[in-house]
Amino acid sequence: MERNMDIKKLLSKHATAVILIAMCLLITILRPKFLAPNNLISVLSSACVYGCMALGATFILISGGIDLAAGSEVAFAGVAGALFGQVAFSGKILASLPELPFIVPVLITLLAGACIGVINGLLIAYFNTPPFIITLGMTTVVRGFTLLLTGGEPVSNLSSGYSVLGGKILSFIPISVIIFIALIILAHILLKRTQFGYDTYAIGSNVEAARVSGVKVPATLVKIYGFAGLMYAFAGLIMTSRAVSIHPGAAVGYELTAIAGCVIGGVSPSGGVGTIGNTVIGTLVISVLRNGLTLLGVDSYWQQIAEGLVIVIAVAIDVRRSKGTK
Amino acid sequence: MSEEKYLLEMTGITKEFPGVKALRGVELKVKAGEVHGLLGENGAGKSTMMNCLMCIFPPTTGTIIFDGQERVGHTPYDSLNFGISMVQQELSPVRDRSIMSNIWMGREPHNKLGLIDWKKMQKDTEEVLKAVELDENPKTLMRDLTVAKMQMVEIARAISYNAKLIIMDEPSSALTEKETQQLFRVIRKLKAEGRSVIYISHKLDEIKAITDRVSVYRDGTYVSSANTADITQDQIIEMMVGRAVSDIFPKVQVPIGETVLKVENLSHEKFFHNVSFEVHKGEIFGLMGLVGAGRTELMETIFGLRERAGGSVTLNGKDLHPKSGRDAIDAGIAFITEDRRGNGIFPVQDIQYNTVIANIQSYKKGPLLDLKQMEKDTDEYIEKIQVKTPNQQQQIKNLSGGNQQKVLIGRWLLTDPDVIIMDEPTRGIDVGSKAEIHKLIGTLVAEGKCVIMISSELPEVMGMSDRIMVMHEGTVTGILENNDQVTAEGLMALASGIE
Repeated sequence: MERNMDIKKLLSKHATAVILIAMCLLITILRPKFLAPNNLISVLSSACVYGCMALGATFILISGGIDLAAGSEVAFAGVAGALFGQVAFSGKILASLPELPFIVPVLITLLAGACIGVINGLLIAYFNTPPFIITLGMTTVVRGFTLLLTGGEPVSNLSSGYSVLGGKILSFIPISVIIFIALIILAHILLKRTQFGYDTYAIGSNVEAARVSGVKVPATLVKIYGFAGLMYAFAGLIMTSRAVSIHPGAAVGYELTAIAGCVIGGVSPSGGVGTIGNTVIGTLVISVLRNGLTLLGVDSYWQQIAEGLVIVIAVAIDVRRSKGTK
Repeated sequence: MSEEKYLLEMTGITKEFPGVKALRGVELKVKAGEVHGLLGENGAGKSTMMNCLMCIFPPTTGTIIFDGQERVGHTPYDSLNFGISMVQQELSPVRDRSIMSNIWMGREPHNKLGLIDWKKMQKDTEEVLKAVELDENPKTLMRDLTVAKMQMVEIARAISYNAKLIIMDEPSSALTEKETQQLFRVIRKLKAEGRSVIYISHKLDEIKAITDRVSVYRDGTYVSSANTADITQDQIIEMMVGRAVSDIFPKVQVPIGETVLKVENLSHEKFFHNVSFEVHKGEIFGLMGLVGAGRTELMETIFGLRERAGGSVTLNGKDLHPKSGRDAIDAGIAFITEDRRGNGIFPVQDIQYNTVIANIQSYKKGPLLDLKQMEKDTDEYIEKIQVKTPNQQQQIKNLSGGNQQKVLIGRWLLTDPDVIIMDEPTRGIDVGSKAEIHKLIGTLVAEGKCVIMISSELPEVMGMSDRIMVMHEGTVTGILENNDQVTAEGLMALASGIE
């Protein structure tokens, strides 16, 4: 009896992980090639872009906010870096530049993402405006700048650094997967083992109490959105290096996939609750679902419907489980 | 005894929740036309009992006989029809609707066309507002009322059901002295009409003043009932806590040392003007005043949460002008706020988090935090302040009010402050925890800290403080040595601005 309770408790605590494992088992039974190393790596690899975004989104959701501009930021950061990463004389604006060492476009990508994030954070913190509104506006502002920078054309003819980054090491592990895993570890440590992480939880669980308890709320908000911007920039970098080009209209709607990953995993959209582990599991659920449905030959329109239903069901279960939280 | 006729007889009430027996054979008997006080510490089972009565959830076993009939398996809606209504402890008005919409919500009067009859609603509202002596336009939005007036509207709503029995759960917690008297007049009127009232309160002087009989619960069991006139406050407390309380306010004698905090002509644009006082080492400095006196705002300004308009503050001889809570904490000030839920606890976080958060900087080891040290410190404070919890991973929202308050005190002690500001430190806390917190305050000053204690409860201020400062509408009306010459009447006069 006692033991039953324990198992029940454990199952309910890790409900999404259980769902993930069940999904994997089911798909394996129906299509055994799901477990082939190549396929598993492709599951991981396809999770990289919205996975990196979800890492940033986790911090924002835990602080009680939301970032609707994430997709635009990914494209902006990717484009900003790529403009500096073009092979000599092929660039649109920067045609006169010689070919720069690959580190320059990488740093510019990351800087561009972080800057937009910091601007979001500043607007939210100092104008005291809801993140929903600020980022709703920023999503078109940033997309507009991205289109301006490129004239609406894709940025291509990128230096060889991009194709190396978009490739694999040991000829089977994509570098993007390694970057993703490294970022997961970094985000986890930041959230659970640093003052920044503690302050993030404080703001999301009770912002007034945070203020009284000495949390510097505005500064922390700027850091949260800045860090998220950095994570989006990594997503943009991975995206660009995979295609060795980037379209200014890229990543539209990706912010919703990223947020869905967090929320499926158990990060609360009302703030204060969630871990990086939640986000990783939630992101994998989406990734495995997409992969499995493709293996099963399900029509892509039906895939979208299935994905949406999973979000609704997963969150409904989660809310029911933690009824009365807050 | 057979001639005694009871309006309500609840006997042998048991209520089990998964894993918990909240009530064990509890009884409650209320006569027609009496005001019946219901007493017990937090967690004694008062609210569970009332919820069983209202049938918000049914009792596991036991019988409820109301008005001569046994009530089985009904719903809250039925309870209202039987003639039982309730004033909930936590207010939940719809702020953007009018007073009258709130009172008649869900049972609006309709005209022949099936549309809402606003005229009748307004007329009926005027009547019930008159009954509770509330002079407000029925169309006023709830949002524009003070908390006290919202409470009176809530009471008006409970009365408007024309119930034979009205349950009032802590109805006076948001009321000032004057409004409490107003409430008492309403209750006496109800009584004269032959209705019964169940009055739940932690304030024993109110229980003495308004109730005819009392029933006391402890830990989910029934202790006893008595005529209020036959027992003393001390006897009531003894019944509630199960032990004799020789002194509710164990004031320790501590030598008063040098000046620690000095406030000179501190002003705020709106809330207070030219406030000056000094607090010394080892001193409990009581701060008394009515709602609107500016006490909380004064403390928030000293702590850096509000901007000052003028004046100066010095702490240990150094100028103190914090721009944020962080600055104040670093300077050595702790602030245990009045509104535990609003700006005290982080409800979904665990006890450890809630304990260390104000002191988080000191756990930095390089860029990372020392999690082991946090765990150790939390355990130490759980032990020291006697927080009742199975472990430090419990979410703080699952603790009782008294235990939450203890965790908050632990949070602030961990910052090693020189000055501890406590704003209503025992509000809404049961008598047992209250005494523990008072004892703790005594220990703190004995360790050489100084405590500024805001309190609206006169016995607490008079029992605990070394000196008492009284404020009235933003100005200091007196700073008194707390000796035999200080009387409750004198303090009230200063607080009301009469003297």
